[in-house]
Amino acid sequence: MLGDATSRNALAPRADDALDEHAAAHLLRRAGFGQPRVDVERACERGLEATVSTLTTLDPPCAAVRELDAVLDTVAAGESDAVAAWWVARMLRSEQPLREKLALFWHGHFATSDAKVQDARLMATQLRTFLDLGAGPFHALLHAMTRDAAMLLWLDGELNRKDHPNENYAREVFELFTLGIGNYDEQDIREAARALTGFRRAGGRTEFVRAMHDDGTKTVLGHRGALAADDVVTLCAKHPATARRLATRLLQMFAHPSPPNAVIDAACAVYADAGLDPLALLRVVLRSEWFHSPAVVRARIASPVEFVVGHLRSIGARADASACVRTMRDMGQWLLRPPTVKGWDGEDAWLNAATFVARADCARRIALGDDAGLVRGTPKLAAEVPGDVPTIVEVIAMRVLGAPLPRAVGEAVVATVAAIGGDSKAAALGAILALPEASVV
Amino acid sequence: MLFVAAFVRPVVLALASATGESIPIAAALPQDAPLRAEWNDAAGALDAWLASPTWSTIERSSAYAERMKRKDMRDLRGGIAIVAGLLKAPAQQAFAQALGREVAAAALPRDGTDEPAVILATRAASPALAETLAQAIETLAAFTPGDAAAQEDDDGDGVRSTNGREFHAVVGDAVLVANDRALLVESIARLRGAQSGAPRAPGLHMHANVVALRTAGLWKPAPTSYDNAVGALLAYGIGNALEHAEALDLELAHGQRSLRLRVVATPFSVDDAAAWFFPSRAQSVPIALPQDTIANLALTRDYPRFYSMRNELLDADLKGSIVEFDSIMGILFGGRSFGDEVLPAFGDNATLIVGPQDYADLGTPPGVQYPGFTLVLQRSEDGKDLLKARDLLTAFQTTLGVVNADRGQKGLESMLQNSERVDGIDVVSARFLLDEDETGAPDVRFNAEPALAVTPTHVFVSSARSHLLALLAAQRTATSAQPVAEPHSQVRVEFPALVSLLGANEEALVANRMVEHAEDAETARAAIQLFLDLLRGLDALDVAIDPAQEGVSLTAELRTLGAL
Repeated sequence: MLGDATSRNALAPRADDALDEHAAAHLLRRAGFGQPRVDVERACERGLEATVSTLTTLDPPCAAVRELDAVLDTVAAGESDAVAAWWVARMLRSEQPLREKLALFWHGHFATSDAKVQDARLMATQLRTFLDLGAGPFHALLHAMTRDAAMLLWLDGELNRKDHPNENYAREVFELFTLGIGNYDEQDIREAARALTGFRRAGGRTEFVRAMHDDGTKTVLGHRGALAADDVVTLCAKHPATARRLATRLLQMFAHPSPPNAVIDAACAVYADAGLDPLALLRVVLRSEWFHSPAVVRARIASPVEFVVGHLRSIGARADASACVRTMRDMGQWLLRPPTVKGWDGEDAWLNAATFVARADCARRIALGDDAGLVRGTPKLAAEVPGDVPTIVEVIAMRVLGAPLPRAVGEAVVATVAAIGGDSKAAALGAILALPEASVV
Repeated sequence: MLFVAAFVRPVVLALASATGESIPIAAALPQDAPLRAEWNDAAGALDAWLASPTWSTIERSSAYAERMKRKDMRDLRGGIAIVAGLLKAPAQQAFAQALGREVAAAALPRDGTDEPAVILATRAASPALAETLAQAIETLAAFTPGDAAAQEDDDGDGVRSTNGREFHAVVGDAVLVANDRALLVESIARLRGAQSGAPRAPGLHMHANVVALRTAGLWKPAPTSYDNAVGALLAYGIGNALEHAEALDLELAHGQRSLRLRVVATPFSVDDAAAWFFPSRAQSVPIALPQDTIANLALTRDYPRFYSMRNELLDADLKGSIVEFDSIMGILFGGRSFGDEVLPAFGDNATLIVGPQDYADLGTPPGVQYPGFTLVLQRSEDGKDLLKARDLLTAFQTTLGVVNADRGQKGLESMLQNSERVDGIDVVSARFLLDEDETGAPDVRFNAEPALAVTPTHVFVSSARSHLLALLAAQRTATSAQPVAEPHSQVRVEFPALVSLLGANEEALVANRMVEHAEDAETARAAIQLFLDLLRGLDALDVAIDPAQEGVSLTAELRTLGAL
């Protein structure tokens, strides 16, 4: 099935290379955060092919990101929330947000929480790994995660000793990080756990202690020998189920929460052929007819990170990244503290009575300002939007949502803004950000 | 209008006393007003501030330049320019002429409306300038909503109005503005009938009639329970004293190198429930502080009584935490009752001292340096039987054992426990261990090196062993052993020491600012430098609460190293 021509047609390139504002905004929201006006205009000028190529070609970071990179060690000397804020600051300022978005994907995939790790430096090191290796082949990332000090603490790798194997990490590697349930058995987990023995933390890094490693013969996924961690990593990364599982998850993050089987098949083929390189897969997906079809546009519920960072980028606001982290936490996504090893459930689970109120409150704070100083200074949007209330509502809707409001909704927003009085731009922005339409990407 | 003013002026000038003293402008205010305020020699304060190194530092900064570009600041400057233009003088001079000598204001309730009646009186630099100020008021009032038909000129009682909403008058060199005509008429009469004399000392003076404010529903009751013990220890009695107060007086005065605030609530009275907050204060030898101390906080309270009332003083939802705390203390102190057998072992005074740590043992200081915090408790003579030094030292070791067991269960590093004798005093402590081949600055955990020492007179509990040792050394070399009255509540912040600590964390502050203010490195560094430069101009801050027969007072004094 893999590599089959019919399957690949499910991700056939879009025939029309031209991008209008709506399509450009959709592309930018998915490959990054929000839809900054300057990026939308540039994408419309350059067309689909060139824009996808730019989005998926990750050059060295821009100056603003390099400045932030230079202070990560200093930030990490404090609390993990400060590291999370550093990451949000990168998301807000990066000119290539796909790197950050992939790191967010891997943070949800290899979900590690500082609630147990309790060491900001280790969390920062893991985050750095996601940023550095997250856009490359999966094998290298899994190899790094297997030696990651935060992961070692999180899944009890240090307790995995030659004479007393701890299966926690091995189980999650099979179940969550690679193959998925149904593609291995308990014997594979027990044997893999033996192969993964020998690691322990040494300060902020991990070291391999041969004396603690079980160098006996094991059988994992049908392969027999004196297997070690690298062997388990390679076996898992190369297993066909891993490609399918990861391709599906990438589609869910970047395209649609329930992609059709044909699309999964096609994505799996592309991903496997590319050596599990996410950028190779995204180049195909983002250019595909399917990705630009009405079924995919606005099909996902924005995670709190996407909601906050996306809207702030869209309106050109400077923001207090620490306040952003707290706001995201209130909305159900506490960065560097995912609830379980499975990460966040996402999609429908993002919205409940409490988190929806938190989103509305966040909308108000972005639009009207607040004591906590979420937004610093005046957003660019405020200076750019002209006209009377209906025009203000129309323009802000396009800037923030990338699409016009349904007529009835638009009229309701205009009436609300008129009723509120005062600063029409701020009122319109607040009203639009609080709409359900603003919580989908 | 000018004609009328010209007619009134000689009459008013005649009111000036024959001795050459003028009538204090505050004489115009109703003495029974629930709220009264006077600000004398504001021009002197402004001149001193604008000539100070602190203002110079702010004015030169890029952050100030950036702030001045903001719309709200542009609007403010525009408004000031308009007023200055109306007063026909540069802004600073206009302020000095209009408000810089004596300003007084009062607010009192009005029947039939929630909006209070307000009167403001100011002494201009001369009768001519008073008239100019009045004309400026009329020009500005013309732009505010109101009834133009209600405009009135002085028809003999001195009252003028532009729109029937504001009423003003010129009385010699005084200008009076009110939102209530009758109040203005009464105030003019008071001023005209007042005896001449000297105004109160330069500075701000405020008086609140608490009884009247309470009656008018403008007094917010103090909380009767708190959501944390520290909040209750700091504020419960003050809130209770304010509930019983009849008057509140505030004075704010600036000197050459100081700014002093004093608030007094009279008379001093509290409920029985707050008696623990104001115990009778004994005399004791003060704790000697190391030279580089950053801050200290001393509180004298009846702690056992506070603890016995914990369920009433703390919010009901804390009951679970209180029970948990009780049981943990029971474990740590070998089954003793914390309230009945542990707390009575200590005196009423507790002092928290904050100072820098010495990282010599660590080699490289941590990336972020925290100060050490040491709590010093007196050992009461009676209490030494209740709780011996051995009990305290072993309780500390037990605590560390529990912490280590918990961390070990979570796979986290444990702390190495240590016991030593320093000049005959037992010191127990614990520290994290650096990895042998660890490179770079240690992480934030290495700021924690909890320690405890028991001397014959005191117990020292610290977050940092080096800080505790510095305190013990200071006691040994203390020059004065004279007992003094224990302070009720006292805080001191030493800014040079604080700046030194912040300077050691400058890179962390810059990084934090880059993240929190979305600034580039250069802008963030400039902002932090400005912050540090401003702190470098400060010497110390002292805050004290002092209950006395005539009233309970809070005094805060900020001292600077250069002219303020």
